[in-house]
Amino acid sequence: MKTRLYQLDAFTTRRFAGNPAAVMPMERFPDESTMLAIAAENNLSETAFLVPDGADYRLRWFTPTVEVPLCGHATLASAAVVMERLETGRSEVTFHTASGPLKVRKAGERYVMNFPARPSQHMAPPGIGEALGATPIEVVGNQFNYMAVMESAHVVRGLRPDMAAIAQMDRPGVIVTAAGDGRYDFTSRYFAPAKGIPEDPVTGAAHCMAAPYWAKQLGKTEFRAFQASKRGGEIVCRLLGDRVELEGSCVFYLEGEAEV
Amino acid sequence: MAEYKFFQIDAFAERAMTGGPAAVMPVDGFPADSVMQAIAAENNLAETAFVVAKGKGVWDLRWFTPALEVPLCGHATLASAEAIFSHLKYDGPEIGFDTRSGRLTVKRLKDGRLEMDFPADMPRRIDAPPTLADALGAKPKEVWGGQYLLAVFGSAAEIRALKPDLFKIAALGGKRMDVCCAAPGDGEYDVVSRFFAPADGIPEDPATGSAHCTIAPYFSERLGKAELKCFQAYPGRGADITTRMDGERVKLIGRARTVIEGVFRV
Repeated sequence: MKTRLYQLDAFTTRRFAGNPAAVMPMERFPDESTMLAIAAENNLSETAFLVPDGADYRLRWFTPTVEVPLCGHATLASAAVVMERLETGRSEVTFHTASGPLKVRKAGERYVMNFPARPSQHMAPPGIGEALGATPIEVVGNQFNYMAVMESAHVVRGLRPDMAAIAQMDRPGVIVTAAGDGRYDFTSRYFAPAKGIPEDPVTGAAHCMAAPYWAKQLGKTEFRAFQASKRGGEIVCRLLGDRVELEGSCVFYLEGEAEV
Repeated sequence: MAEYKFFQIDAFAERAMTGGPAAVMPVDGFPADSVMQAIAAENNLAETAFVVAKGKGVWDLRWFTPALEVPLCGHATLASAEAIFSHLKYDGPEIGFDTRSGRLTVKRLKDGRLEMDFPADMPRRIDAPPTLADALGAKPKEVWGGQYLLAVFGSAAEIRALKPDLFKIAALGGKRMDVCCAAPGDGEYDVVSRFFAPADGIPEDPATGSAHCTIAPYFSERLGKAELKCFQAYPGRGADITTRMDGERVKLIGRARTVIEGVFRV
């Protein structure tokens, strides 16, 4: 059976930057083993499967090895596919997901997603400074990730973490962040070798944790954020109570048909 | 803005979603190296092959991983031949590829399989690196050294069950960074293998043509068979590679299946 396949770069206005995702609209979800095989074949950090559900869509995300409960960049990419290809002219869409309904609206050339905030508290995981190769000025954490706050964006950009040591920490990923970086309010990077992602190019979910933290530190609720991976990506974040709006652009790359 | 044709093709694959995926991009002339590298990083497959027609059944061929250009790649060569025969509708019996490793030829056999001709790499018995068994989580019966480390096990079941510590494999050091684990096969197969190359950014490779240039001479001699039906047991996929010794050369034979056909704009 042939099915449409799109590959987009999310959270960027430049091709070959941002975070690539595959989006595959289908009439119904194939069985899980098929979706896993397709995601492994695509070998992108996430492949999103999209199925119509009334006026909305159901959305599931697969990495090359597992189904994941939440993924920001592939949701942004799915919204771009719905609004620019499947239903041109549409400016709002709701995705029903394992993390509940996620709403995305169009704002000019960008898309705005509404995600749950991930608050954190002060923590002191042993060995995090050695694993990162730099001593943080503060470490916070929640059930999902640790976040190490560094003195400057310069330190964040220059980090060369010991991936084996990061993989052994008792959280699946480590965000590293610092305030201020040119025209950005904060910069971050995200390492998750235990999930098979040494460094993720641009991570919506990491900003669900960074936004509430920086809101407290900087005394504001709207941020221009940069994720300083090799590819690089831009996210505008807005803290709205227990939700975070993540706003970004997408660039279409590949459009074709897949044999599934 | 240029528009490119794109094919994602599984090489050494009896069925789609098995074997090793490669992207194949037919172009009128090679784009700048930096553009090919960016495209290969974006595709994020083990290899992206760029092919340029030269006429008379000959194409220029270059291979890029997501990180760098490589001098030789088996599965992306097989995939490139499939794209040229099936999608570009070339109807000659044989394709010549001019590459950094010289001229490589791919023939289409009567049964539709593709046959590549590569140099054989007969390994020599060596002492096992001291940390190898710990890194693999199992002790090989013998270790041989060719272009890669060849760790020979007693049974295919042991190969399928391997759960190596990839950080330790990457830290093995020595001049051979990549480890091919192989054993006499089970069922219809003569040889079952797996290939780990974390130091080169490939935790486990699904279909490794070059490893079979080492597997073929070793197992052909040991099993007394010129032709071997080999299975590379990458978990969840698996690649079918038939090898045939031909003097100092090895024929690598397999099928290729197109999975994605599309266009992209740069």
